[in-house]
Amino acid sequence: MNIKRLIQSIFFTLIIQYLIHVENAQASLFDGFQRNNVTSRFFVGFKGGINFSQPLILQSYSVFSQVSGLNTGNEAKTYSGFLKNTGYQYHFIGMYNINNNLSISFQPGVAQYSYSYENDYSWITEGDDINTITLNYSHKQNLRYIEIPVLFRFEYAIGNISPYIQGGISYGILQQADKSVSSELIQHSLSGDIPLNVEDNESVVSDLFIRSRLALLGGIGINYNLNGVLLGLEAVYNAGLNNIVNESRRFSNQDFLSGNYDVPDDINLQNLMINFVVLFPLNKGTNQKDDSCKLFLKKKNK
Amino acid sequence: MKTVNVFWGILLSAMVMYSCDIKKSDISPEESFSKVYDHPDYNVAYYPLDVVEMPDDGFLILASLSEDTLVNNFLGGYLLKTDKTGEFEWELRIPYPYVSPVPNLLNINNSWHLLCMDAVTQENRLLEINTGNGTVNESGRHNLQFPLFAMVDHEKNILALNFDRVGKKSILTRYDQNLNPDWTYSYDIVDDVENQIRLHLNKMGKQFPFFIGEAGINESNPHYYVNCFKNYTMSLIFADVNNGHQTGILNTYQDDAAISSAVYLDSSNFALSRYYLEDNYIFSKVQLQMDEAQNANNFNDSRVPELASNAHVKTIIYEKDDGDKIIVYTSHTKTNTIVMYFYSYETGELINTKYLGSTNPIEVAALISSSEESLTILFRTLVIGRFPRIGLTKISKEELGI
Repeated sequence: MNIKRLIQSIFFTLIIQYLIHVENAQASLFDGFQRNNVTSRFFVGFKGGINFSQPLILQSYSVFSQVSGLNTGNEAKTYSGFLKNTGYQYHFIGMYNINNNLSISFQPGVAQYSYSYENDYSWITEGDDINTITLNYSHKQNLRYIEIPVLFRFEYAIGNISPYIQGGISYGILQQADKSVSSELIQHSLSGDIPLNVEDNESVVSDLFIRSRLALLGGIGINYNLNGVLLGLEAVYNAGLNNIVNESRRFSNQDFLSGNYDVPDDINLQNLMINFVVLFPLNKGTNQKDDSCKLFLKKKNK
Repeated sequence: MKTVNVFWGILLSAMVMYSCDIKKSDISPEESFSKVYDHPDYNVAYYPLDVVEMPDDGFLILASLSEDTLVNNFLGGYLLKTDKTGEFEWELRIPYPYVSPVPNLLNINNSWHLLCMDAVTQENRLLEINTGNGTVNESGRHNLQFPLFAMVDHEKNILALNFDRVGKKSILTRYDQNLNPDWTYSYDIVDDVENQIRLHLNKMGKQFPFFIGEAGINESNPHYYVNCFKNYTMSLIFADVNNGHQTGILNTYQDDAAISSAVYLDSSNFALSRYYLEDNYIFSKVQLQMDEAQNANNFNDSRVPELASNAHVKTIIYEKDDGDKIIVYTSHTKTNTIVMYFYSYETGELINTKYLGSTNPIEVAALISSSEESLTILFRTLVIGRFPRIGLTKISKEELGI
């Protein structure tokens, strides 16, 4: 077992232990909540939703290089728009209220990001534009990360509604990257279009990406206090900070390199996440130290 | 609270551990790349011949070019210059009547040259390449016909192999740097191979591994070795460096067998590859007696069943910065991949194998050592299984895994 796997194991063991701890605390939590106006600095919960990705191209690469200074567009990739690159995420939340308005949360979870692009190639008979061959490729990449975000949240309660803004940093560890390519080869002639070949190629391409993804997070949301359980909806912009492509392995995948003439560009993945959020207060009892917390939750429950 | 602190500890540790790979991934685009030089006209066919690395770390590629507008039977010459990342910089269709360049760029007084044929007379023409503006000018000519290969020896003489179709001979000539002959020696051919050689030059038939090399130049027994037709077979001839006289020979079997590559190692040791009735064999360290007649079938060499029939094989000595030497063979397999075999220079044992490419047909044209201990392979590929194009791949020393 290498060190990375060991750290992963420890990390997940701690998460499980933490969840067990939370579960054990639930009975007293709800008892306490119903008996008094619960006072707690801690909240636990989960969130999940969909995301939309847009790669920022840091440096473009192509297997093809056109001779004769010809600009046929044969080497260019056309990336799909933001709304076509959908993925999903789900996160566990552990939140600690620093004071009435400010809290810090730790939100480990899983996110899958997708992005896609196309390239079109064509070959012609000189002086005969009708007799051509075109080749169209559609590439789709799915990247699944375990993410460890830490966020600060500022909120202001107005009755049962608490709008908030939040910001923080996230560290993502790539679990798996998949790539699928579909291609269509067509002969164009006077008698019409003749499909020559349609192929699909799909494989795991984790080697083409580095393990790490660092991101800055910023977003807005709103909570509704439903008898102490906070239901929320939020939008978070997840701005990748680093190139996620493994530059040293760019030309290593021979299937895609020479089969589909494709190598990845250097990209920085930008993402918008829409999440549904559920938070439960965790009763830690009432004492002098929890005065600020009392105030916080009383304010929430007014 | 303690648990939260542990989480933060783990978070920070994980970030430190995993963040290392952000830096580790860093590699400049010039350290490793793979390019295919495409042209949108599907009647154009390129046949790459040789590549050299330039002082700016870019590459100069020599190829033959077939276009439907070509008015003669022999293929035109083509030069392509790339930058250090493999991107196209300029190209030159070598003007008529210069055709059929031999597959070896010649470095003469730090200026690149190529030997080709006059389309009308079929005689030798030496062209100097101006790599600055992508032009050529004739710098020498000689009346021997059908040039097949040329090289520059360690004394800066030009060695050329020609075919005499009238006298049925293979001819080895040593020239000075202006293509003035020093000596000429011919080797008789019994069979009529003119048609095979014409097809070879037109890239239409079997491609024969014609080449010339030097052996024992720093020792007491220097020789040239020449792979050409002699009597009934493709043979590896050992020639006296002073007059070209044959001193020894390694025979194969008619034109169904040949030595496909040979590199001199030391003493009387060579790294060889050969094909025989479509099978391929490698002998990473074999003793050849340069003053005797031998037969390639007597070797106890290794059959390489994965290689394509009568595969082109390119072999070089790869020398690391620390002086460690490795014998590198590269060729193409039946499954459309380029394969590289790495053998110990000292023991001749296989130490690593690497595969490149897949799916579309591919053939190796040249293999060179390049900057930063990398290797660069020039190859021909059929884009989407149809269009013959030039390909170039540079493999960094980290990727070589040796």
